[in-house]
Amino acid sequence: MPQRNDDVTRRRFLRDGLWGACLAGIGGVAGFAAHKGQKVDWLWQIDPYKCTACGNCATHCVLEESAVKCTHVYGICGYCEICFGFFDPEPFDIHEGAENQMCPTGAILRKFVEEPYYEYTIDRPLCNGCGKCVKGCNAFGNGSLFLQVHHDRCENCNQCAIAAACPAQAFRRVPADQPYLLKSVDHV
Amino acid sequence: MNEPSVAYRTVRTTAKVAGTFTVLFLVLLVGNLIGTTVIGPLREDRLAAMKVALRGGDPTDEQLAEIRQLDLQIRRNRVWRLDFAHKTGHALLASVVVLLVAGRLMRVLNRRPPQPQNALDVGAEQLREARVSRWAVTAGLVVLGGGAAMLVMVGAPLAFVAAEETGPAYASREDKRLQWHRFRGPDGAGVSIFTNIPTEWDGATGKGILWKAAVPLPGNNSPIIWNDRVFLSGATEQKQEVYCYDADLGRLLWTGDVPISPAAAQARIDPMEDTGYAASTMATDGKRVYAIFVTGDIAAFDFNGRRLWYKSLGVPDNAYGYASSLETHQDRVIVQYDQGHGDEDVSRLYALDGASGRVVWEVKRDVPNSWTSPVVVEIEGRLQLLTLTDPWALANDPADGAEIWRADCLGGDVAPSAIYAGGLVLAIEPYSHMVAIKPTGQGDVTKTHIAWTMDEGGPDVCCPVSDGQYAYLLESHGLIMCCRLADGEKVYEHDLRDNFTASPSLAGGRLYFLGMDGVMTIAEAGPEYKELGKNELGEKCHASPAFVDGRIYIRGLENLYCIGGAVAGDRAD
Repeated sequence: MPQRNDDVTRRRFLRDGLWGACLAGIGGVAGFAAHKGQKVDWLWQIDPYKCTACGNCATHCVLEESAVKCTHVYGICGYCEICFGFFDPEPFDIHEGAENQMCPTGAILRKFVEEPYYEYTIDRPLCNGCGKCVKGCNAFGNGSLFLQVHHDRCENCNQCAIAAACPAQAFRRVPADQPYLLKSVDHV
Repeated sequence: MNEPSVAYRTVRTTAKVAGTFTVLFLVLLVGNLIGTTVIGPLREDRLAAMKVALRGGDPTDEQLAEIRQLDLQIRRNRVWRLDFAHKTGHALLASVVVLLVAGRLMRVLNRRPPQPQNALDVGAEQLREARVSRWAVTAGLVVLGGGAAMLVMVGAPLAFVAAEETGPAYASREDKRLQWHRFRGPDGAGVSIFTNIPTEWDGATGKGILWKAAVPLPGNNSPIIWNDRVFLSGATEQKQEVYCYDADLGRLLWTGDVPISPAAAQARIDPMEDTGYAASTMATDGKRVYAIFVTGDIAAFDFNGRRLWYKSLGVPDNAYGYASSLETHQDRVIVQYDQGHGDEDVSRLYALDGASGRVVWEVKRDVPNSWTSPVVVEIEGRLQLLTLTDPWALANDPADGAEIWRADCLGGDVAPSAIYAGGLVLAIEPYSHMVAIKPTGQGDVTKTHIAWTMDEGGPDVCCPVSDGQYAYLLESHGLIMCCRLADGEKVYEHDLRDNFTASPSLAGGRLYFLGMDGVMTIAEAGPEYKELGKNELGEKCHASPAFVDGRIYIRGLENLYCIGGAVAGDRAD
């Protein structure tokens, strides 16, 4: 019986099938990667120029400890000796004693730089997002302290509970590749 | 009856232990919650009270040590409770999972083959189940119906709140015309569109006076009105407050506190007695109210008394004390912040975002301190922000602060604010002259757009008022001057023989002059002085009155008065 050239042998079938599967896999991976590259995820963020530091961020987040925390832009900071993000509006004395501090969790650290300048840093794990320091800094200072949703903690709820409670409508969606709305030095 | 198997007994014991732990963890979590929400805040309040007690005193080392110890305890406690809640929560989850798995296993291990039943029992059982199902469906429908009825009943107020929350962000200019939203009302012109303004009252007998309410702190600022609310501010060297009164009943609805900025506290501002610590009249955009004080501290409140923001614009360098009143444009508050001597680059014109207080735009002004107030007026379809200072009368675009025109026509300590009447902007240099400027130019219009100058003096404090035909000027010592608007010619003079700091007002074709001794002289507007009457309040008055539908609100040195009663809605136009 003559042999047909186009007979499908088991070996050829397996080889072709394997090639097909590889090509389909490569195509699938490429398509998925292209799709992922084009897809933009959105995150919640606070517009620092709208935020009034009302205190809702600390109490309305679905997390037990709010995902909103204080952020500091050093370019705006005046490195003031008397920082009203750090000190009470009427401090008893100008030193780091608890009786003089504004922050309820002791999350702002004050370090002497040179006369009369001091550097203020935020101890993030301690900050609860109450905004008291933000209020003080915006009222009497340069406004270098402001609140931001920290995305290492944020659950990115479909409807952010803080956004719903925000009296200043300061919350908005931002693209995931630009997750923070930082204050800029040249912004009036 | 067979003994349960070893496996079943093991699982049952496991379920019991898991159940016990579940209950235990729940109790611990509830205890932790009580500690967080009740005990924690109590400690924080105690700490705050201890801090306040320090102020002005000389604390001992023991007191300081106690404060620091309590502060440390609160912070440690907070971290510990948070950590405890996390760990206990996870343990609770694990114990619930074990309980559920053990419970399921118990059912599996305890399964028994079904026993045959007789047909009658089966039928009865089916009937019973059908009856229970009907009741369950009925009860479900009742619950759903009740829920729907509740939603319908509470839906209206919910919708109302939503409408309030999502309404326009600010009042329109037309809305403002029906109110008295700033110093001297709409356009800062001192003119009310209502004609049903009272003409007779008596402070001694209470005749014509709807109510009288004490104002806690002094202030020379005037009341402003929005619907059923009256706002004014008061201050001393130690305190700055904003007051909201019920316009119909005179009840003090709320008091808002504005902290004194540390810089101002340190500067120990000592304004002239005639200025006081709260000379600037507040302003509202229909959603929020704004107040500024002699310290340069400015704040915004919502109508429920919630302070939205406050900030310091810096301690003003002002010879007599900062006294410019606020204006609103859309959802922005306009602040004229003139200070210094004119060569230090410290004077500014600000537009602040009403919701947050951030600076939307600011204009640097090479001018010295002044005591005039900004006004936003519509001129030939375009809004202009008018300010007067030494030596300029200025017009800016309220949208972005861009300058439109300026005229070099003033000097000295400028206090009366600009008004727009009869197509002209009127500007007064105290004791010297009044200038009428055609506000249609661009750039420096000194040589091209000054329509006329009236050189027979001018008030040092009071702003002018106009009915569109004549301008009426009131000098501090009581001299009224009436000038024709067309050419500035003086028509008449009349001496009221009283002292005045309140600016004159116009309502229903009548002029209202409020003297410092509380006597309101009412005269007919026109080319001749015709006095219609005098009304005594019985209290000294420095502030300008506010006029709304059928009522006048007057601030005395100690009390706020509402004159009038029924609201008839009778408008001039």
